[in-house]
Formats: sequence, C-alpha cells, structure tokens
Amino acid sequence: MSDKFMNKIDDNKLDSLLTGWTKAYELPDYQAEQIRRLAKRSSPRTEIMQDNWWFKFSTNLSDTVAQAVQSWMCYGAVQESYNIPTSL
Amino acid sequence: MNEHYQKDNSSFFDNVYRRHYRAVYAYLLSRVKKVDIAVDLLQDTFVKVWNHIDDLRNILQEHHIYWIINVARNCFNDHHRRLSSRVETEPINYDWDIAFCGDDPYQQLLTKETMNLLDQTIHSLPDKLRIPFILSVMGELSSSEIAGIIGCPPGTVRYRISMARKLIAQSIEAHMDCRHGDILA
Repeated sequence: MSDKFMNKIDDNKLDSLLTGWTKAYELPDYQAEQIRRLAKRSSPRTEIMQDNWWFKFSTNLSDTVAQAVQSWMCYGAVQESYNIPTSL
Repeated sequence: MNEHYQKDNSSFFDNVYRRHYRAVYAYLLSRVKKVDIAVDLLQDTFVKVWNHIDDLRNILQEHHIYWIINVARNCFNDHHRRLSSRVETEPINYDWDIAFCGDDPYQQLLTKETMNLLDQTIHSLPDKLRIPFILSVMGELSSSEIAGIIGCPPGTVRYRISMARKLIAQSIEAHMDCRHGDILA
C-alpha cells in the first residue's frame, strides 16, 4: 500500500472531520425571548434615526439646528427605552 | 386585543427564530469568519426581524429564509463598512471534538492538527466556494435554498460545494503527506 493511498481522505473521513468542526462552532444557547427583550430596548433608538419623519425633514434645515434637535430627540428615545424619568 | 396580538407575534417570532437561526448563523460565519462577530450580527439580524415582524408576516413562509438572510446581509455590510480593513483569518485552537478518532494520544494529536488545518482551509476558501459550503454543512440548507440565497442555479451550488470538499481534502492530504515524510526522514 503506498503512502499516498494511506493518506487519502475519503468522503467518510472528511464528513467525520466536518462534524467535529461544526460542533466546535455550535452556538451558545440563544433564546428567541432574549432577542425580543433586547429588541424592546434597542428599537426606539434605531427607529428614530432611520424612520422618523424628523430625520427626513431635518435635511432641509441647517446642520447645526438639525444636529441639536436630533441629539435632543435621541436623548428622549434613550430615556424612554430605559424608563429613565424625564426629570433626569 | 393588543396583548393577544403581542403574544401571537412572540410565538410567530419564536418559531421563525427556531427554524432559521442555524442557517443565518452559518451565513454570517461564512462572511465574517469569527464566532463572536457572527453571534453579534446574528443578534442584530433577529432584533431587526422582530422590529419588522409585520413585514415578515406578509411574506410566504417558504420565502422567510431569503428575507432574513437579506437582513443578515445588510447587517454584515454595515459591519464591513464600519471596519477600515477586511477581517483577516486567524488560526484558532478550539477544543475540537475528536471522540471519533479513538484513545491513541498520537492519533488524537494528529487529528487536532488536522482540525486546525481544516478550519484554516475552510476559512481561506474563496467566497464563492466558502459561502455555499458553510451554508450546506453548518446551515443544513438544501442546494435549492442556497441557490436562492446566493443567486445562482442549484447545479452550480452543488458543483461549488463538491469543489470546496475536494480542495479541503487535497489540503489535508498534502499536510498528511508532509507529516508522513517528516516521520520517515
């Protein structure tokens, strides 16, 4: 039997190696519920930057005014998402 | 009414998540090559899915995976834009599951070496081979599903997967030949 033949990787051997490889990359135990909870915290910030009417409307204002109001709105969104009292 | 709708949305989302997270994770891993980044992007992807759950409800169930992979692709593109340079492949040393190779310590050492090589070879495959290959092996998707994701015929997907397998096998064989040569020398 030649060395070359001994070192041949057949389909079964490759599949065994790939099974071990896949297992090493297995995901941590992620729950859909965690994702939903995370989404509730992060969505206002994302939405306000991307979909809010202000974001589109502000393009017609000067940069300084737009930035100032945007910062104020984002601050409001963060307060809301973490239930921080307005007085803070 | 609102509470019922929320509950309904939650179970719909949980179902979608359970059915597709593995494939989405495989897709992201095939793009970023790093577990921690892939996991972060997986989370970002499903947060977006949850935020647009009503849009997903209007799509046929068999098309859900393509819609979600598109979301994942956008997450990956955002991530890629944020980085000034491409993430390079780094050799990793996982605690490989080598139960299949028996108790012989020498055999175990060889297998661990082979696993590291396998990992490096997979991650250094060109995109067009690596992405369908990982989607198939890790994401457990069929060639038609992969074809829908990467936008080419299922036959091409099958060819690319078999090409990837061939290159991986050749790389391991070459490594084993070298190892064998070293021992004999």
